[in-house]
Amino acid sequence: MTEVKRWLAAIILLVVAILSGSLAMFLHPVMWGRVSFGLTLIGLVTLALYDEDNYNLLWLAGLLGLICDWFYLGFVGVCLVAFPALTFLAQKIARYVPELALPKMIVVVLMYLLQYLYLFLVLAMFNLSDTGRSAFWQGLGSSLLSGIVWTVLTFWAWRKLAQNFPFLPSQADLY
Amino acid sequence: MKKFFQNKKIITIFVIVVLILSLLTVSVHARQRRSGPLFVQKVGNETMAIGSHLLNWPLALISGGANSVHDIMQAESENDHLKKQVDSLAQTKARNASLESENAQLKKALKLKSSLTDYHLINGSVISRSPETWSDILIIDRGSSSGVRKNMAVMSGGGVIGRIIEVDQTTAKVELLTTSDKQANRFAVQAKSSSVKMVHGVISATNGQLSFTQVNNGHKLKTGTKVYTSGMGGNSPQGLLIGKVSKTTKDSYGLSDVITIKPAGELTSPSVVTVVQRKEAD
Repeated sequence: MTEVKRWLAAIILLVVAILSGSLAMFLHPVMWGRVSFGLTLIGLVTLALYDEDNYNLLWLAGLLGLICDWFYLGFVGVCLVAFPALTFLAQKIARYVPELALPKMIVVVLMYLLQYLYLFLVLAMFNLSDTGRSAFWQGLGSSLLSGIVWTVLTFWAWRKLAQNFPFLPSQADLY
Repeated sequence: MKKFFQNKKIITIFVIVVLILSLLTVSVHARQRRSGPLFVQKVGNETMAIGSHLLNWPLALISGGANSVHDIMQAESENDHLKKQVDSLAQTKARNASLESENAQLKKALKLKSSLTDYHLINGSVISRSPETWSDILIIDRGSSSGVRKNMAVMSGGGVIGRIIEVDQTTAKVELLTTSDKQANRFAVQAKSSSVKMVHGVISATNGQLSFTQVNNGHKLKTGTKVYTSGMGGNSPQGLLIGKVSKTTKDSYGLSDVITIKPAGELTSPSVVTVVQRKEAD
């Protein structure tokens, strides 16, 4: 049971990574514009903000990124890079963020936008998407909106998970 | 330059950026060229597909309930429309049967085993969709074990919606027609103009809008003209409906015609799809 608790965050993040695709499929018809369903990144960044010294989160982020890239895109380098990089960044700035929910939620939304910018940069660089200015701003607007909505809806659950079931905590963290 | 090499942080960042770019370059090119994913990737994809099946079950119940209410509300008007269609159906079926038999006899006489219009259909369901902002990719529950191959055309709701870009054992990825991926394969299409001549071109997409491009005499196509695949290129068969002409304009240079297409297929929320397997010509 204790072992399951140590891995619970990873299991939930994997389920959320799968759920993101299912939600995208079911909710796409009723969503406005190009909305992303980056729930996995929101989870990783929130866990990183509450568990800033846990570097196990970095390899977990890398593994999830690799799986998401393979399953949803067919090539690697988008989530595989963005997930661990933004998790690392969140851990580094966590000590400067006040211990209140709102500032942490703002950081999560900013990370969500950074992932959008990185994705746009990669797709534009490799000619994999439309690089028009209007498309960029439209995507940025819908990403900001979806980032805020998903963060508000799921933040409390991720916080509980980080506080009660940290991912593979070290012995020092347990005592 | 000397300072640059002395600063370890800058060198580390530089090396990381180069590594990321190399990884992306190799990976993107590999996806375009290889016929199937690597073994490890296949295992990962199959595991995620099983998870998707399990998670979709409760989600489909909720979604299905909402759709049922909508369907009941639409039932009366749909029923009236279908009654009108039924009257002409018997005549169409009889004519179709006679044309099919005539076609088979003519092919036999010409010793043709298959033509551009011959194909098999593989039905499947959509199990997931890429959650990324710019990616128009669906994941379906049919793979190489069902006969699905890379580049096959995929239909839903009466028209073509995209093509297969990657195949695993039990799943496959479908890139939608609306993708703005400039490296994606395009469908070669044709339409009959007002002067009864065939107009040929390819289907492209900008900001989610389909257009019939690389076309001459496009102004001869009237609004409402149906656009079909031409079978050129060797991947998709001839005669699959893409959509109808909705508007004809000139491009920004005023040189070629840009024909906007209203897609016939269900591009917004396809739940059931049909993969079209073209018969190989002898």
